[in-house]
Amino acid sequence: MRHNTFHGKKALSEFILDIWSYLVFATALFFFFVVFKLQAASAVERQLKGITDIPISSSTLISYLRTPVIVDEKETNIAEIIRLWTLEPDKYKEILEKNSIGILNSLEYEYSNPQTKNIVIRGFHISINKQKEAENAIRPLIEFKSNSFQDGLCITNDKGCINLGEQFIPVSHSSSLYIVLRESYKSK
Amino acid sequence: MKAKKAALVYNWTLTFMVIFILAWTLIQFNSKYNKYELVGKKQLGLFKIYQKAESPLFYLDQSAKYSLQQSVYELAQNGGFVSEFDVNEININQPFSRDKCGKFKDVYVWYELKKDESDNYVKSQCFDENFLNINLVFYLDNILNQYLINSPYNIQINNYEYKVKDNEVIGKAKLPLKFDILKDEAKQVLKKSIEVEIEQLKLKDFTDETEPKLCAKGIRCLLTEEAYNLLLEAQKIADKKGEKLVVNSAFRSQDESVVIWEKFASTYPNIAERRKKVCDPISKKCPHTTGNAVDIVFEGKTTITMKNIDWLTLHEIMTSVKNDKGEPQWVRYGVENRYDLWEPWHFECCGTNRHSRAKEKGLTAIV
Repeated sequence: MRHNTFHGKKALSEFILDIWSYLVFATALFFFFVVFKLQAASAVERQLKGITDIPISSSTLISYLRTPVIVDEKETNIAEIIRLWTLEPDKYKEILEKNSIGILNSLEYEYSNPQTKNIVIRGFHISINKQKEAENAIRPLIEFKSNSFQDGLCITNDKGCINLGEQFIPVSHSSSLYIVLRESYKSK
Repeated sequence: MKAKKAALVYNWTLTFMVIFILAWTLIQFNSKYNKYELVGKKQLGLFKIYQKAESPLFYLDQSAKYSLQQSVYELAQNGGFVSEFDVNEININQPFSRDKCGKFKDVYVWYELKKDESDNYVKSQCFDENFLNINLVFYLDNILNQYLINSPYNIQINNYEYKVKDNEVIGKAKLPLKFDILKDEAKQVLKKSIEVEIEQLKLKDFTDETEPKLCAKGIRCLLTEEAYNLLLEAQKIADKKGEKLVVNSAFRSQDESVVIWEKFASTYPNIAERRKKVCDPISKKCPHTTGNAVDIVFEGKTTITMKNIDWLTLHEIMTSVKNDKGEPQWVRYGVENRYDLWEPWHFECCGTNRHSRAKEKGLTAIV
């Protein structure tokens, strides 16, 4: 005589139902675990995305314009030299160029790209315009770039190029200039 | 057998309960998570605003520096005095000293020699060094206002209290610059007027009102809603005449009125004389503190360049705004049919003292 472990069909179906309940329970736990885990990860991602906005600011540009410079034995700043350059271009062009390039070179920095693992260098560019950049100021009055600025690619905010800001500076009570600072990306 | 059945029911009940609780938690979590801001969002917003505010502050710093240099030059050019061409409706509240002896060969006279009845020469001094600082500040404020008007930023004009000390001029802002900390930059929002209550008055701030922009740039456009609506009606009438109204002064707080009154103490030391030129906020309620008084000119013109015909047209436009009974809603500070006296740019409405008096007498202009 064969021993019936499940005491007939009814016992067998109850056992299967039991197993099903464990399976459904485990699946539900796993499903919710995955859902909660994904939600937590996306929250961190969103927070980090906010932090990446910080460098896109005008503080570097303002620092450039406020940099003290000695001109005609008097301490002044870059914004003032730009104004003097508009009034007397021949006299102040060289001073403006030399100081601007010096400042932009000192802003350059290198780092290892976490994705491509190569060394990346960030270069800087200043353009002085009559119009606001949004109003088709494509031909600047004068421009300066640091040694490692990636020329040609840094027109729009992509491929690692960032518009760090635009500052309106007064020249006289009726005329002003727009100064634009850009940062480029280049492999070393 | 009964125990087995109970165990089966228990297993499935537990499973469904757990699924239900976790699903409910997920729904609750999602609904609450969407409502709450991300950690650090406010701090980040604040950080960005500090940086954004640096831009107009830098512009202001540079403008103030150039304005001072220019004001020293202008002051020297005008022999330490203020010429009438330098006075406009914007700087009208800034005290100054005019020349006392006029010009000789286009140069301001500092000393005058006159013959008296007995043919003796009498020397009179036309130049008072005490007014130099006051006039310097007048020019500084005037030039700085022009810089601010021509800037892309909405910086208030006439917003500085100046102090001249040794070789320094210190300007202290009366009102701070305002920025929205958590404004979504990507989303274009039509700015609504912000209701504010000042001195128990229900005033509305129309400074950022987009269209029609009745207040001049840099002017704090605070008025009662009734006065603003009457101004809109006046503008509709002005449109038919091809003119655009520009409000150069609207509501002033009691403190601002006191500051203006005290500013003129040096120009008009005699109080009776000063009361003829400036409203005395200590002895009476000044019209501009009601939010129902405005100083108006036509676009592109100043109180200096507005001619008699312009003042007449402005008067006609303003007094054409009438109520159901046909009574004019705006009353001018002055005399009927005269535009060279008092303030042809000053209009009041909505039950101010002047408005009520004019209404009683059936006038459109009253002192």
